[in-house]
Amino acid sequence: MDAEGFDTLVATHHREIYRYLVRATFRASEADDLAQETFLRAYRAHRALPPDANARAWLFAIASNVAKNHFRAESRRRRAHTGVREIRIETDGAGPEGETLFKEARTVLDTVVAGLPLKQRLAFTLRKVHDLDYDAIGRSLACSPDSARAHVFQALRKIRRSLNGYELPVGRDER
Amino acid sequence: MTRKPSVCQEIEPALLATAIGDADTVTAARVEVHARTCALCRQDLVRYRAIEDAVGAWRGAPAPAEELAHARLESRLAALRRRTLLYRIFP
Repeated sequence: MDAEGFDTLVATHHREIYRYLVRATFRASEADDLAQETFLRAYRAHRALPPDANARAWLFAIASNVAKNHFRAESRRRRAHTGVREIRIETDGAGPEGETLFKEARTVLDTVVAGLPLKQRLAFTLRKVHDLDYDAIGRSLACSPDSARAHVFQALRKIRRSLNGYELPVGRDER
Repeated sequence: MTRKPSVCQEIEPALLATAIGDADTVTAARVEVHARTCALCRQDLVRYRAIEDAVGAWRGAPAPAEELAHARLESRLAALRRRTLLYRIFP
């Protein structure tokens, strides 16, 4: 990939990778740092990327590695600490009134998803938010497609259990 | 906690796959047929689909400070390119 191709890659995928990392870290400032690290690594390696490579999946794989390293380092730093940090994704607070229920549901989901083990959280986000297939998720998380699928399913089971009777808004006719 | 009947436990992965749109049509049909006669699984299907719907709202939603983060990256990459260029001229 040439320099122009890399510029296109940044323009096309940075926002999406940043969103993924916000979902992974639940902190915009950390996600910003990790997204920069992702693209700096990509910059160093992009010339070796074959023209027919799936650049999007490649970026998600780098971002997943960066996130995993970050959490490994953070867990070492915080080993002496106990408890779960408060999870709150900053939002702009704007939106139509009719979205109140969905906003509340999103907040509940944010908290539940934040409590998932890292691999499950990443696999779940890659699949359900960024629509990557299980092959790509497996490459991102250094596991088989079957394991990637198992992580997503485990995440969903835990989310369902963690909702603990909280009913998310239902929006389909058949329900 | 009530233990689910074995038929429900067996169909659970297929039910989950159906709820999130991962199942093939044959599997999805099998799940729908079972859910019609099983209130517990029908409820599970509804709940998993509600999760699927709620998560769907995350897709495409901008993250906080997204444009700022993008501008910062562009600026950092530009600085890196300048340094690389200078190094090539004055190694």
